[in-house]
Amino acid sequence: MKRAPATADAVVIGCGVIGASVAFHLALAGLRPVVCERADLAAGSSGACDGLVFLQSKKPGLHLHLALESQRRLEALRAMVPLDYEYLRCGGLVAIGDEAEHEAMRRYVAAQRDSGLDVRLVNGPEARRLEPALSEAVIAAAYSPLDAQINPMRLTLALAAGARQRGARIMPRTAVTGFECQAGAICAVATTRGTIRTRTVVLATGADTPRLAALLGLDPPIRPRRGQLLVTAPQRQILRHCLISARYIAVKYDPALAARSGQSVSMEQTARGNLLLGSTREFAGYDRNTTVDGIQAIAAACTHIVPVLKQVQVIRAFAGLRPWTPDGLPLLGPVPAVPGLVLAAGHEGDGIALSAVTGALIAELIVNGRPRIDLNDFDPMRFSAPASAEAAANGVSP
Amino acid sequence: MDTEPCDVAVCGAGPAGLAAAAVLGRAGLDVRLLDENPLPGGQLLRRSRKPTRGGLDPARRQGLRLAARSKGQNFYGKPLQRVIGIFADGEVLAVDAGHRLVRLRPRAAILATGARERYLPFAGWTLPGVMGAGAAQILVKAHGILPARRLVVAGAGPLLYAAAAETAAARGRVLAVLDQAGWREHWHLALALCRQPTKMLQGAAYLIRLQAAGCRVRCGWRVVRAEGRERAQRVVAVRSAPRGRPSNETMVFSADGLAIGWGLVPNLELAQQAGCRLVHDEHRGGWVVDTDAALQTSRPGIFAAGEVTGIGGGAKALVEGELAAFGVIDYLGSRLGGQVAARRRWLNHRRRRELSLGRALAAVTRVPPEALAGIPDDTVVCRCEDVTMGDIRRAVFSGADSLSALKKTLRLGMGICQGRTCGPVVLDLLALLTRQSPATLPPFGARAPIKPVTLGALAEGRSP
Repeated sequence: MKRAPATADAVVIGCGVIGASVAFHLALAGLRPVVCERADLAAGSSGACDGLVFLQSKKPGLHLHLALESQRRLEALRAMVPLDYEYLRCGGLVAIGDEAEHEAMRRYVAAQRDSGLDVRLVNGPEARRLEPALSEAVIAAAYSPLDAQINPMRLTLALAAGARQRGARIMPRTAVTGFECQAGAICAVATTRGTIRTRTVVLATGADTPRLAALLGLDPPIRPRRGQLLVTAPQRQILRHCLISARYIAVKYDPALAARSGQSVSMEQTARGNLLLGSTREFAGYDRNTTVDGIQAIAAACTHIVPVLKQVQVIRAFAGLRPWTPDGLPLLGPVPAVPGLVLAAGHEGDGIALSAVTGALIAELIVNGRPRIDLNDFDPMRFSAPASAEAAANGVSP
Repeated sequence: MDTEPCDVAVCGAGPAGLAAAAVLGRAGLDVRLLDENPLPGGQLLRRSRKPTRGGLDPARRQGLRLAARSKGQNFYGKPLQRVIGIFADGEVLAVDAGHRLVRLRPRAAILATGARERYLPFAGWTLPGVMGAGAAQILVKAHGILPARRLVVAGAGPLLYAAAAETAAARGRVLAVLDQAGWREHWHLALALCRQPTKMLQGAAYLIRLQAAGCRVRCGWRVVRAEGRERAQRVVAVRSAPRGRPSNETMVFSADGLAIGWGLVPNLELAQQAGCRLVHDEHRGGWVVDTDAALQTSRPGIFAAGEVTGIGGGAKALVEGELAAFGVIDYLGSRLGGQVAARRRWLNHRRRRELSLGRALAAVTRVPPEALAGIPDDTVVCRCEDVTMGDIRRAVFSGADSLSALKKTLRLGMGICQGRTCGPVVLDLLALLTRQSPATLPPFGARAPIKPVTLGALAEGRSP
């Protein structure tokens, strides 16, 4: 068994898409980070999710701003990594099913346009002209030509390979067992392959973050939220765009709409022709099993919007654990209580879309002391301050 | 749609499932026997066009009796019910011939999902005309179609001789049977068969029939190449190198059909999806379902019987089916009159005998490392996703040292068959290329649906 190096400029824990991106950007800045991954690359949520780089589903404001920046970087990164990650700017549609959703989307689209997103509402017939497979149940849609899709597993592997080329050391099947601190600051990471001395540790551990943070006496408010997805056999082109239902946005940001019944939907057709259909959002602890209920709900919702899918064969269902946070925004930045510790986790369903910008900003934070974009909204400590405790309590609780 | 309660769901109506269902039915339990085929009997009893009582093999004779009897029972009312998953809450999900879901909530389940053939890739194995030995047998027996004008049968294990002999019996031309195992391995098999004279007789009958039909039977030879423009036209075999000595002896056959198979691997998908623990045992065919003495898996209430607990043939499956049924009856707290204890003792004794036969079978069908190492780089290994041997070698060389890493890197096993065809051989390849023990390399994971099912079937009766 290969031993871990004795020292490292930085240790990144977790080699999902976020950990790989942080390692890549650190290596790009000239550091030699070591990545400790408990299992295989992309073994967690990055290997069990859809590949949407959907801008329309991001909260207007800084969240959307980050997503736009991330997409620009994902396009530029293609030339810097040794593996193609099937990035395709296919444009995206948000399918609207009734008048209440339509009304909510009018407000939402207006706010997004104010934030600088190229997005517009189209009526039912125009939506079907854009996407002929849509059923009459879709009364309108929001359309943005900027929405894209990607192969998230390939993206993770590509970033990891790019990081390795630039001097990062990536260690799969290396579990972190503890931390050593000196005067409160991190000085070493203990792993199953030996102890690594370092002053900087990045937790990029997604839904598993609470378990590792607990080793340092911390309890960041990240909880696993299960998302089940279905994969179909490869098909000729059925979908021209990637697609979500307005309920998807409602479930994320609008508690009034979220309370109504029905399954939110995301759909994309991959480069290979398989359709990826999702996705549930359930609090079920760390259980990664699929359920009859989840599978049926996705099948019913997807065939309702795209009826031709009824004849298509499902070859697999899987589930991943999204790192949920109370306000739907990730935890990015240093933890003052433990000098040397940086959090890069809690992206819930946005990890793939925000991967590039997250890695870049965390690397800037570590190398220059401050990132180019102010990360205050994503401060990991925002929930522990008394003022924001109420806000946290108002969110969905597991 | 609501789930329907019942006492026991038996998944698979081969010999193990039939034997289990018969005992459970006698105990007065509400049993559902689920199978994706139109007729009960599984692969072993796949019906020939001519009515048969099973010939010499006592397992086939008993199996056919059970199958005939099962049709009168209410538990096998509907054929073509394909089980696609067993979930954490115990629900068994199946889909019927009309693409409708069948949802059962049994108090216990028996997994009797049988086995499939193991294939070894070689140059030209994807050419039309190359088929599984089992497929050749089905063509001849069930449909009365000869697999080729001039057939070569190659690989390892007793199924080759059965496929060849049945093709010859249907007046098909079989040029040769090329068995990769040498005389030494066959000697061990013969010793194990000494205690089973009927199997020995059947083997002898196959050989006599092949001899009479002018077929060459060669041990210690393996196929390395199928050649042809649009379909197989020539088959090239080499003599296996005993104890690593290189050999350049070759044989070339002008054949338009090649039937292949390297023994069997258990169909573990349902057990894996249900969360049953697996165990690696090279004497039982690699990864198999782990059970206790009563054949209960690591998941309480879920039992396993037949090839899924270790490759051993039809007689073992019949014995285990009955044993698993007794286990279920105990588990449910039901009672069965008569001499159950004596019967169980006798069954356990029989089971040990069949397991020793399984060990000999495993030795005969073991794939030698040089056969794996000799696969050319341009040979396709994963047929669904077009992944070649070279792709695998390069990925392993750049650090992908587990099945899941290979899958993420190459899409290997992500296609329509979900790794059922290439999975077992890729595990062997990976063990060889990375010098790891096969016991440390877990197989592909399995998730519901374990076989394809339409979205329409899954969505039926459910509001969006």
